[in-house]
Amino acid sequence: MKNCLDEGTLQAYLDGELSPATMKDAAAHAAACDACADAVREAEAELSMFAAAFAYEDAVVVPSARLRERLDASIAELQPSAPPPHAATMTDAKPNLRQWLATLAASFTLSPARATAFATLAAIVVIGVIIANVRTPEIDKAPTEMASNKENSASVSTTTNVQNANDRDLATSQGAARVPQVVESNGDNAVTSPRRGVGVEMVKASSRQVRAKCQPQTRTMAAESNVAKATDGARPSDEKELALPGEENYLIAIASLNRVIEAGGDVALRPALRADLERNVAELDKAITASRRKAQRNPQDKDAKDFLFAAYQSKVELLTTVADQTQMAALGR
Amino acid sequence: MYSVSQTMEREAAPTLVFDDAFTLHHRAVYRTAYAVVRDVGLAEDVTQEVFLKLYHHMDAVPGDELLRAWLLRVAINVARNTLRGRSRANAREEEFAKSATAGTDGVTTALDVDYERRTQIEEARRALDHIKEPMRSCLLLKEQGLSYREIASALSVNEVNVGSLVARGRKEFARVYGKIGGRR
Repeated sequence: MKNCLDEGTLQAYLDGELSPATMKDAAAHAAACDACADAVREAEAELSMFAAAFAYEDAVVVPSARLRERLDASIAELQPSAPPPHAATMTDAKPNLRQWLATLAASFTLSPARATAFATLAAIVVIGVIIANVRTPEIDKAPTEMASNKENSASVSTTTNVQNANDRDLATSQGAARVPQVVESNGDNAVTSPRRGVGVEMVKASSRQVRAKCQPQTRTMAAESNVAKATDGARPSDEKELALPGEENYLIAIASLNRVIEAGGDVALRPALRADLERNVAELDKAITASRRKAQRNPQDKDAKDFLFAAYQSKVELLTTVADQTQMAALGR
Repeated sequence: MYSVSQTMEREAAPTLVFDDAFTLHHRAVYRTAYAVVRDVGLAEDVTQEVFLKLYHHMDAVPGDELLRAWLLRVAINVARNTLRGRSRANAREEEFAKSATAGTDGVTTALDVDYERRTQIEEARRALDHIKEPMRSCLLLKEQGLSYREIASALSVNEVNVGSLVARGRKEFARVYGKIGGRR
């Protein structure tokens, strides 16, 4: 007979795995076709033989209570500090990392990957917005000033190109970008996604600027932010107790960048933007504090250290960009 | 401004809770592990390891629908690795001899059965050992009540082929088991 059921379809039919329509067709066919009816009978006999053969195996008693106890004991061992051990949703198998994650989760309830991603994203978004706002007044000013500004930066052609592109970009979206309300619309993806792209370019461009030190006007400031040359005069006193290797350089860089931003004053950085900057620095500081505490407690914890330095890096990048832009704004005046 | 707390609240609510996962699926995990390792102590160890893996990967495992498939896939892998560390045949013979002579070990009533039953169990196991992968695991997972979709997910096979894999496994089992037991 035509359209006989193949072994897969027949099995699926017996297991009720066919779609309702196909199920009906299969049943109709099995009823009409002797060969398929035999196949169905044979399959059913084999399935019941299998089930019977393993009836005793399937009757094995599952020691639920003991399994639960053992599991709870292991989890409690992994994480002695957290009261409800199985309530956590952590990712790594290493006990020390788990503890660190627990403390981190307690302080701001983000998984490390998400926290890092968030910190970076927040920094980039804010940088983009701050740059947009700092640069907008320049665009409003006389074209001659812009021209002289461009002359100053002509020695760095790549940087200038990026900035010009950004200028155009900003000019087109000026209506939205020039007012502080843009900051409020950060949560809106439609607005942030293009701006984020700008921000990334800006970060790259400006850090290149600082590192290359090509612009005479920025040379002194860039030199100040140079980790090797800076002094620790402005270091916050509460951070002096730290002895983590590598941390010192970040602190020096941050201190000198803060000086540069302060030197720019309120004219270069409008109050609303300053508040945003401070909020974001506070978020980064929170991440830094949490991971530093963990890293100090357990110097072998590489993940905590990595996270700490990633947070520092974000902060330095944020401050570098802002410092850069305050200088640019000062030059444009 | 970008709100940290809002982001946290949204992402901190897991789609499934570890406790629920254990309550719902530990039996299937234990039975699947037992079907592979055939030892109550080892099955316990495997179950323990599977749920510890779940605990560590709560945010990486699939949602509720395919969680059981994920757990049983891990269970089969862990169970096989457990066996790999031991000499399979030796362990089995040992266990069989032990259960045949000792009878009651106070751990399970399934092994606390008469000699005829134990023989039958052993024959079924030997027949099952003759079935090649992935047919064998298909049968095991179907025994645990998994849907074709779950089986496909657990064994990384195409869902369309599950029916035919089950059919072939079932036929092979009937052939070998019938021969061993002289039942056909």
